[in-house]
Amino acid sequence: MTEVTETSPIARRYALAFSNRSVEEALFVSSPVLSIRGLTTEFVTPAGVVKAVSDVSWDLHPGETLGVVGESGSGKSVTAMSILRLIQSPPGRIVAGEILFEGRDLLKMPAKELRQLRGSEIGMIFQDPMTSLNPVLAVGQQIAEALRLHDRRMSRDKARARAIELLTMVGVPNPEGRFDQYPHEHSGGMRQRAMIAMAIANDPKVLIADEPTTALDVTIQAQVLDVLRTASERTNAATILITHDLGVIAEHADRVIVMYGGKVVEVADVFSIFSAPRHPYTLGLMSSLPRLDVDLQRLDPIPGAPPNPINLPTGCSFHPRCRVSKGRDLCRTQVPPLYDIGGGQQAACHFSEEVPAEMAVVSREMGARLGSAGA
Amino acid sequence: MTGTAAHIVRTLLLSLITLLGVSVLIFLMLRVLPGDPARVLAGLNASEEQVAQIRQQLGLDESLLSQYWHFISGVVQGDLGESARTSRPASAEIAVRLPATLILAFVATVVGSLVGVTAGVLAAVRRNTVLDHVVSSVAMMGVSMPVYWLGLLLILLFAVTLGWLPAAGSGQPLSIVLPAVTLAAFSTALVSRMTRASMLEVLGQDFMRTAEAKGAPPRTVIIKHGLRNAFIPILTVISLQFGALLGGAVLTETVFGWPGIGRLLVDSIGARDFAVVQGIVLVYAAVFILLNVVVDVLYVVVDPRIRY
Repeated sequence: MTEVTETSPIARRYALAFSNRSVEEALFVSSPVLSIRGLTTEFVTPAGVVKAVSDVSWDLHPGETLGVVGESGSGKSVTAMSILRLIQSPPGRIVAGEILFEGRDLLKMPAKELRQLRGSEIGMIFQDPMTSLNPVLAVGQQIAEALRLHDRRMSRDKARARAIELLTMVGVPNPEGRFDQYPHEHSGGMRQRAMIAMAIANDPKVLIADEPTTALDVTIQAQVLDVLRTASERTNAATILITHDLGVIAEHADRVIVMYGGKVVEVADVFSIFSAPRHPYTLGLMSSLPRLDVDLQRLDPIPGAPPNPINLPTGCSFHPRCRVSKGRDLCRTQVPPLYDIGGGQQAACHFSEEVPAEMAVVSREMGARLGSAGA
Repeated sequence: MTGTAAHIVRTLLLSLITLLGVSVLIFLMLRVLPGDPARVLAGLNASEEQVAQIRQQLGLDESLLSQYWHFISGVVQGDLGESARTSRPASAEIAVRLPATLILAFVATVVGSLVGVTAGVLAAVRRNTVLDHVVSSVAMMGVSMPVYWLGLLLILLFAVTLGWLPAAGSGQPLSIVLPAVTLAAFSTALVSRMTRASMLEVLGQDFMRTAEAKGAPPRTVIIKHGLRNAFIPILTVISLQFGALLGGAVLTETVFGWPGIGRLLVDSIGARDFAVVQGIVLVYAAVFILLNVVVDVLYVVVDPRIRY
């Protein structure tokens, strides 16, 4: 099972518990390094306008790992791409919001200024290392490029030496030899390590990892995530970890943002997300997750399918699939705002106070107590 | 690269068979064509005896098999035979004319590639803008404009009206401008279309986004990361165009009085000058084969995934 190291979120949680400070205090003493306010990103398609992200706001604090979780189409990747303005336009466009990095709005910044931040202050790791590396350039050259783009005076030799150092740091064996090899000569795991090396090359303050292990073999996923954690700790970067894998969240995130239908539906620290979710969707994610640590009689999947992003349900977009709503009018007509629950937890549900009781019901149905042990 | 070297050797050896095949084809084709070289040479008022005599001189009275043997054993020794018209060695006739055509085709290819790739990249990057539509329309004109018509228009404007450039011949350094531009028009259009299509495919690729996320400026993203990846099909079109320009130079050479091999070929076919026609066709075939080998090597340079 989970190895409890000093750096695991569990250990950090305990550390917080003994430091006589609330989680909230501990996280909010420092001002956020990245703040998203009211971000709305749309895609114009022949079938209509897709609101991939609508009115999303959250903060990223120095040193923390923020997990962003949600199913395909929930808007988590689009949020990440919007931060560095990597949304292809057309068809995409950011229609509203602010993304403040150290007080400066990335969305209003001139392109040249933004380029100076890309890859130096904010590093990014993409989902598929098979397609995210340039197939006709040597892997090492691509890392060296990241260095030389932000330090014009760096010599080729120095960039090479530093790139080899970075490859060593991310655990690539024989880094001198690997430097001159091309992506197709590397395995998926090695390529993603190289991507991580590229992203941390300039010691970024923010590291965005967009489903960094989704395209990898299960056996490699854990290794790559460990490399990512080590890398973000070494550079002391605040990390945004986007994933649909709750197991990854449990093990690596400090705080969690749950997204559904382009909106944030729940924000909480990782303990609360698993032990006391306050949004029915989060509860649904928990109850559909197979677990090894508790003996489940059965899984309780979320009924229905993800919503059509062109034509989202009225009111709360989760209401057609919700087991708490029970057909109440409020859910159908009113979009729930993010309610403050306390302890840094927020949930966008009109009836979030009913979720704990529902959780007990689900637990009975499944033959195990959710929110206990593991997580 | 050892694999590549072996591939080149193998290709060159195989190309000998190709050349042999070409020699058989062109030899037979010339013999099947109506028209008797001896009669052409002898002139309208020659008697049957004179024609027969010339035929004997040229070896045309022998059997096809022995004529071919004669021809091919000469070729192996570097002897293409004698021109029926000038009585000089065909190889000498070709050697005099070949450089002019090679230079013309080379300049036209360089111009066509540079302009075509630039226009294609711009059209792809600014797709569906006015610039893209202008490039597309001009390319369409370039593809559909007959070479001799474009050549005449250019002569009219730049040589006759403006007097900036010589109209014909190859005496001055500037003489090459008009024929090269005329010849390049078609390949520019073709290369720009291919570049646009190939770039559009690459522009949406994940690694382009990675390059952007690194902080690379648009120019670096588009050229270093994009164009390099889009280049394989472009390279193929350029090399094919160079080959086509060698052959297609016939009309251009005629319009501009350019002393190249294309005109020699047309004149020699008209005169049923077998030795020269066979020689030129073999030279074309050899140039094509060499071109392919060069392109094979360039593929490896451009795309490290390609191995032979």
